Amino acid sequence: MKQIFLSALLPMLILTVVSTARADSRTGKISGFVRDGKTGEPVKYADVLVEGTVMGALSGANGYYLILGVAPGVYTLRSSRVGYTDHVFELTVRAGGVLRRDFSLEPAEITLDGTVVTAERTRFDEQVEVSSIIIDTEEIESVPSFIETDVFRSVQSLPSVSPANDFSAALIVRGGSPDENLILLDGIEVYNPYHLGGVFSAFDTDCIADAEFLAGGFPVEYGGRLSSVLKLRSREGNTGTPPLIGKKDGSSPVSLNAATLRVSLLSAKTQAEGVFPGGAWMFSARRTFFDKLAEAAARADTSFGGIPYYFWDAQFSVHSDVTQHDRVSATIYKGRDDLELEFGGDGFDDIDFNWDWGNSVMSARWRRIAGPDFISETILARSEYDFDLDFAVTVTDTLTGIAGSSEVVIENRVADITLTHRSDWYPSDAHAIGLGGSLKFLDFDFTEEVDGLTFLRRTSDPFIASLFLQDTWDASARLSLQYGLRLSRYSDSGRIHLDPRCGFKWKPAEDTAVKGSAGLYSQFLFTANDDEQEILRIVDFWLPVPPYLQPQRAAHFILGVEQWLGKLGSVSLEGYYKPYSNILELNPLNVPEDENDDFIDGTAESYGVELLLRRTAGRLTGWFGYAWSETIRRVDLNGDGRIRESEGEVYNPVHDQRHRINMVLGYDLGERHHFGLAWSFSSGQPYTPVTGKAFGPGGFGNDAPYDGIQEIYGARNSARMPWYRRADLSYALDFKTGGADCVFHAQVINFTNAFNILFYNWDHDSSPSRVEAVGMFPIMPSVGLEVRF
Amino acid sequence: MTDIRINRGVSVNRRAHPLFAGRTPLAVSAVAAAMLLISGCTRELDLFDFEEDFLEYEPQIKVEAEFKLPEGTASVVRVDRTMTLSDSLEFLNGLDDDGDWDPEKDDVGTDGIGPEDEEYEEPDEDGTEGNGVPDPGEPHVDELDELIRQVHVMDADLTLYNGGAPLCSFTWSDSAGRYREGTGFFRVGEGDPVVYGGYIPDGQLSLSPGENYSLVVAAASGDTLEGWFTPPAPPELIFTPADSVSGDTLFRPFPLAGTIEWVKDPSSLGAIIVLESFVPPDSTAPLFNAPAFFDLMSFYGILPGLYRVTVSSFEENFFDYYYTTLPVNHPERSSISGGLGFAGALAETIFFLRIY
Repeated sequence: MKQIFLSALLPMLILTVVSTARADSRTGKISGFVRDGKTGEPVKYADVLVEGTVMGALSGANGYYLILGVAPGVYTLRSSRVGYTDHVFELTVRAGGVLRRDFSLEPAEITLDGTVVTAERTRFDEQVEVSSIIIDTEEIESVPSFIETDVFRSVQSLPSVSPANDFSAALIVRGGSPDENLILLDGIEVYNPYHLGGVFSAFDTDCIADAEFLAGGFPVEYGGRLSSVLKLRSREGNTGTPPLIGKKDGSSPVSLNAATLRVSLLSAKTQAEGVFPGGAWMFSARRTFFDKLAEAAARADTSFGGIPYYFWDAQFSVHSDVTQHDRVSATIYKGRDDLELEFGGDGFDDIDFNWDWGNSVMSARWRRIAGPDFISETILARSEYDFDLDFAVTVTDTLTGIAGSSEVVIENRVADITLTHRSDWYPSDAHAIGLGGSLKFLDFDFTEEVDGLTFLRRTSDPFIASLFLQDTWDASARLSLQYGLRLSRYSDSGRIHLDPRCGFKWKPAEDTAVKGSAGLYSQFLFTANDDEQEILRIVDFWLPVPPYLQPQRAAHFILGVEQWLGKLGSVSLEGYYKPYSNILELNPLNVPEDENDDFIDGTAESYGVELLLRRTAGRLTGWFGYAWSETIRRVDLNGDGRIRESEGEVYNPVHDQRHRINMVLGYDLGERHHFGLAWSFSSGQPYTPVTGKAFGPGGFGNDAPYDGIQEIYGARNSARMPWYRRADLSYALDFKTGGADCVFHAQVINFTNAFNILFYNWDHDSSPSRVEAVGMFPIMPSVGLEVRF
Repeated sequence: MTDIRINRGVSVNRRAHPLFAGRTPLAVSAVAAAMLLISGCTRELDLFDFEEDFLEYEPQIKVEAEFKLPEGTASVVRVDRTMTLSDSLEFLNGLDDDGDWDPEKDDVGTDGIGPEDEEYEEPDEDGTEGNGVPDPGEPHVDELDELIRQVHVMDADLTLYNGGAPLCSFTWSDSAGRYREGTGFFRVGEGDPVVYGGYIPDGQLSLSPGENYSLVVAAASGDTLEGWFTPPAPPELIFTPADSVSGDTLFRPFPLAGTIEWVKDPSSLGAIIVLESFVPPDSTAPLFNAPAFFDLMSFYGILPGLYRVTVSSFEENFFDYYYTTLPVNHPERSSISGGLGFAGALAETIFFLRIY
């Protein structure tokens, strides 16, 4: 299959490129950037049209556009985008000539008529990728959120995604585990993008320009993950408003052009941005303060022990156009969580629990426009994730009164240095060729120390080298194809892994698009967390796939249809089938002394159908989604060489949700009042039922034979929780005071106070047994204030 | 008391994993779950909301056969039945089922507080204090050793085979074993020992390392259960030339008492150490009980005195029983064919330690 694909792909690519690239010398080219005139941020999906012709282009994520094959002549070049006033250039194109025109679009009031819905329409017309959705800042902010807006929470409302529970911002995409998602911040991989055990994502929404989410069928430029890609693009910084600090005429090489203070019940944060020579800079930082409030409360009431937790994060980005063709930029992100617990005493063991973890990300990028039809970008990035856990128990001997302590120290570090290069070549109107590769050097260190002795240490420093080649070919006015190949060499497997992928878009009618995609995907790193076991996923335990197992693999087969509904937006229906192989599980039968049996592999399959109705323009925006899906895993958990359902080895994983309905609405009442509503209704998650009980030993290390009650279970995940339902409301009021733009935010999470079950807690000490349900978020109001200068 | 029993999947309970060894994610998850419980987002449910899950469950026979080397006569086989979730049996019947209620000390009334207690204020208003009969809430009423008597299966026939030949039969004993409540990881229990019933070997039982044995349990209900095991050799202590050893006693100075190492039978997995303060001629007081992560033990900080140290290494079935947190009905844990439980062996080496 792979050989057939390879033998077909390369000749097709070469032939089609060569055959369509010949006419260039008789025509001209127009290229440039489209930017926001007020902030200087790139404007993506802006239309750039050569009036009086059918020629035009769409600006990309970096605002860049390119129009090829323009016949010599005098033209009007117009750029338009919903929410902006049009900008035009008069220009003369000569044969073989190359023109650069950069647009600066001024923001305008949004109106809804037949012509301004062009951005979404352009996406509908141009984008080949299936299962792709772009969520901009406005949409992120329109989703009611727990205390603070969160891009992950917005993504969780899409039909392709199901959350693990209210406490988790992790993404479960089409049946995949959270570690199967590639999270990219400005092209840099981030390994544990959460705070507070996943309640919040690690990214401050104010720093994010937009998020592109690829739920499946993603092209070959993305590798190393099986399920999805979430690309977060940082804002570039405000250069368009008059400086707050710096010369008012804007001549200062460095100036502060905007500053924001925001206080919510969770955190205080600040953001500043301005001009940098040839570009812009932006800085943002936030810190939670409930630990400080709790300290004050504890001083007033000594019975209150305080809240021993906080997190902070900070991000700095800067870019400079050092020449007309070269831009260099840098991003630094750092975030930490810190938890310190002390409890015990009065007859119980004294326990000290100190834990901090976080991410540190740095990158330098160089983008070069070597020609109007050739753009390259090189990124050198370092991403590090680490946690340190120190768990000390002091035990006092019950007879002698002698105290002794036992300390467990667990450290995990993942360091990733990656060099990535990508070039985009537009040899003709019909082809866009992407070529690139990456070298990823990894360093893993997992250490467990017990009382100063190293009980376990796993270190590994594998590397992953990848190359990709892709062509996007507009074969006709109605048919576009995208096909490519990704080659990866993973040092621990010693093999080259081939991931061919292809997709198509066919427009049988003007307002109808049929899309499809098929491809193979490989994953070389994984988290050792047990999704079946963890109620709350506090941190991820990242590890490389061990040499004794093969990398995880999946195939995507996706077919969908999208219908343009004009002012109503668009509606899409997609079906997918995703078989997995080599899915890794913790080996329940491992022998501690054996380093080569910690994990076992199995297979899985996931399939489903998703419906999405989405409206992005007008006073009422949002989406309605419905998904039906099923995920089945098959793992030889008892190591008998057979996989049998009766032994709990064929099961729906805990995140399997059969039905999901989500609705997200944002409504602008006038210019100052903004309302949001998010509503979710979904099948309950599977759990393994308790069917009986027996006296037995008290647990690990306790062989006293009647010290505990052991549960007897039914078939694995054979029962389901009740349906999940939740409705959230939000309100934002814009107002001015003291020369500052202010926004007052108010949210009510779960305003119907629906009781959604997180897990069951059994008490077998009474007879008959008793059971209580532990719930997720109850009704929770919160407020916040934002002040912008 | 409310236990935190997180029920999300069978794998909640698994054998100690080297990466996590029952500590990290479970500990974290338990902390998080405890915080949730404390936060009050809980709701009591009707047990019969779950009747689809458990109504068809019938109690089973559960066998736990611990064979000890070198002296097999110390072996105990526990045969009990499991319970349904709605099973109330005769639990908490307010009676002194085992006859250890003492009218002189225990007739303190249903509040469990008598004149000897600091918080005692006045006799119980319900008249149960000093009424001469056991009442619910009084000491030695509805205690654990009374409850477990109700699940013991006392009418089974047990036979131990060696290579197909009958080696030994067993007899029921009401006091086959005992332990103190609260004993566990790094912890020794206190209070009166819990006495439990079980089957003990008839006469002398000698087990040999490396031999194959099978235990057959024929329950009166007609069920026949069988388990197999192969005992390991006891751990061999490694003494250095500098060690001062006299007979079975090792002498070390306080406080830098050093360590001692041992070699396990290659077929055995894991080990456990029990340290007891030894008071001659035959009394011991448990001090320390812990699994051994390595084949050595540190004596650092042990106060001067005479101690009895027991180092036990496990045959695989016993290892699974001791270390596992797999569910009791997990096929891997239940090495008894046709039922629940295990038949396994542990081999002990005992020595005395004099810290001076």
